[in-house]
Amino acid sequence: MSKQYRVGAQSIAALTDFSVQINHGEFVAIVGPSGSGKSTCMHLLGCLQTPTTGHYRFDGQDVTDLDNDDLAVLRNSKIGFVFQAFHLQPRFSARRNVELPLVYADMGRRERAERSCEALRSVGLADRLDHRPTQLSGGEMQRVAIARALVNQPKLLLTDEPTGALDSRTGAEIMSVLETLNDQGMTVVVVTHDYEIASRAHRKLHFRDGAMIKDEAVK
Amino acid sequence: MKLLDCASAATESLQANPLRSALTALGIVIGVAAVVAMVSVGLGAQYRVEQAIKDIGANMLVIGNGSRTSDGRQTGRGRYFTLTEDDAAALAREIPSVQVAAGSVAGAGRIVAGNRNWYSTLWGVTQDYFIAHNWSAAYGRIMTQAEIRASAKVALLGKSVAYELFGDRDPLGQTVRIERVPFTVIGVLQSKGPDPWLGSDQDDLVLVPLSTAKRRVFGSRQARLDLLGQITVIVTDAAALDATAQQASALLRRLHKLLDTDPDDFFVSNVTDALNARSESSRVMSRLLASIAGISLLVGGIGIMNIMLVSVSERTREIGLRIAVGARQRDIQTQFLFEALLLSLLGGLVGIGVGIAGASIISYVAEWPVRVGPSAIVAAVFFSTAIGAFFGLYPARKAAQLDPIVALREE
Repeated sequence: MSKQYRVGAQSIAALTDFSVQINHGEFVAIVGPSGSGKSTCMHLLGCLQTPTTGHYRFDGQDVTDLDNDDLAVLRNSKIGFVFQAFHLQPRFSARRNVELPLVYADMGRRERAERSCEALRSVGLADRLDHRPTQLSGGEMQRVAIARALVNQPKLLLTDEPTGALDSRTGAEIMSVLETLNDQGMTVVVVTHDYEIASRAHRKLHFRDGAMIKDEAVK
Repeated sequence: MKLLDCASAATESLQANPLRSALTALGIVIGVAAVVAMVSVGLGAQYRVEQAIKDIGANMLVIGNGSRTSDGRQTGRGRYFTLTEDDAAALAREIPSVQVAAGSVAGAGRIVAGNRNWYSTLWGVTQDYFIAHNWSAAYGRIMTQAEIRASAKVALLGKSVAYELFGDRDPLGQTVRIERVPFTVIGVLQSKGPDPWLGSDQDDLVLVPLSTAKRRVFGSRQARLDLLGQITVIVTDAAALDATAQQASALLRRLHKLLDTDPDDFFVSNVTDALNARSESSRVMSRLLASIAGISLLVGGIGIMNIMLVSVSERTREIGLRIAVGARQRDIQTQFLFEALLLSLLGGLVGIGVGIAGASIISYVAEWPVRVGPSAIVAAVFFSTAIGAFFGLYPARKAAQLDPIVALREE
C-alpha cells in the first residue's frame, strides 16, 4: 500500500509502498520517530483512511474501496481504538464513555449498560463505573479508553502511543493490560516511538522517513 | 444511531452549556413571541372588521336623503326628505339583486319608565329592518305586520336602554313613554356590543313601528307621512353591490323625476365595500406586522447557526472520536441538527407563551381586540422548527464532514 496527500497541486507521499500481513492473535508494535509514517500506517490499518495505491484486506474483506460510512460501520464492529490523549468525554461517566461505540451499533440501553460494565470490569475498573474522567488518574483514564475499545468485541485493538501521556510505571501497567488481552487471543497493534515499549510486542515494524524499513520478530 | 440516543446526546450537549443554550434560545423566544403577538393583533383587527361586516348584515347599501340647494345654500345630507316608502317598495320589486329594501326613520327622544328616564336613538322600522340590520329579539318578540299597519304603540328596547330604564327587572309588558307617548315594551333586542370602529354603544336604541314613529313621535317634523329617513338595501351577492348601487340610483332618479341635469337628491353609500376595504387594509397591516416580527425570528436563527458553528469547532475532538468509533456522517449530522432543532423548538414553545402574554398585555393596555388563533401557534412552531433546521443544517454538515484524523489530532 502507499498513501499520498494532495497539498494544493502537489502530491506528498506520506508513506511509500509497503506490504505487511498481520495475523489474528499477533502483538505487533509499529515503531519509528515522528514523521516516519507510522501514524499514517495506523490510520490505514484502522480504516480511518484508505490507501492511495494498493489494497487493504481486513478480516478477509477488501476494504480499499469502501466509502466513509461503510468504513465507520467496519470500525464500529471490528476495530477498537486507544489514543494517546484518551479522548474521553469529560461530561460522561466512565460507563457512558465506554458505551459510546455501542450507541452507534444501535444497541439498546440495557444491553449497552451490561456490556460496558463488563468491559470496565475486565480492565479492573469495576469500582469506577460512575466516575467522570476528571475524577480518574491517567492510568485509569487509559483503562477506560481500553474498555471502550473492547466493548464491541473487536478483531483488532489499535493503540496509538497508549503510554505516551503516562509515567513509566503506569505505562508499564497499561502494557500489561494489553499483554493480557493478547494472551486471551486479541490482535493488538501498538504504535509508539518508544523502543522499550515496542520490545514488549512479539513483532516490530520499523518506520523511517515515510517507509517501512524493517519487519522484525522479537524473540 | 437511534433517534432517542440522538435526542439525549443533543440534550446533554445543551445542558453542558446552560447559559449559552438559554441565550441562543432567547433569540428564538423573542422572534416567536413577536410573531405570535403581532399575528394575534392582526387577527384581532381583522376579526373586528369581520364582526362589523357580520353585524351590518351581509351586503349592505344605505340610501339616504340628499341635500337641496335653495338660494345658493345647500342643506346638509339627509335634511331634505325625498325618499318614500314607495321608493323602498320599488327597489325591492324592480331590481332582482335586491333582497331586502328596508325603509326607516331615525330620531332621538326621551324615554320615561316610572321614575327613570333615558335619552336614546329612536328608529321607526318595518320587519325588513330586522333582517337588513341583523337585529332579533333576545327575549319577547319583534313587532308584527299588523302592529306596523295599525301604528300600534309597541316598542323593542336595546339592551342598554332596557337596563337603564328597568335595571334587572323584566321590561316585557311594561309601559314606557317615548316623547310623552305611551308604548308597550314587547321585546328586548339581542346585544351587539360596542361599535367596533366608533366604540359607541350599538345597544342604545329603541325600535318602534315605522308608521307609529312617523305618526305619533316624529309626526310634526315631517311634511308627508310616507317619507323615509333612509333605505337599507341588502344585496343578494357581494359581487352585485356596485351594479345594484347604480341600478338603485337610476331607479330613484326616475321615480323622483329628476332631469339629466339635476343632481341626485339622495345618496347611495356602499357600506360593505367600505368595510371590505378596511378588512383588506387590516389584512395587509397584519401581514406587515408579522413579516417585521419574522425578521427577528430570522435573527434568532442566525444566532443558532453562530452558536452551533462555535460548538462544532469546540467539539472537534469529540466529533473525531465519535467518527473513529463508528459514527457515520448521518449520525453526526443528526446529532447536531437535533441540537439546533431542540434550541429552536424550546425557544418556540417559550416564545408562544411570551407571545400570548404580550398579546394580552397589548389588548389590555391599548384596548385592541387581540385574537390568539391556533394558526398563529402552529405557524410559530412550524417556523421556529424550520429556522432551526435551516440554520442548523450547515453547522451539522460541517461537523459530519470532518476528517477524523484531523479532528482527533486537534488540541
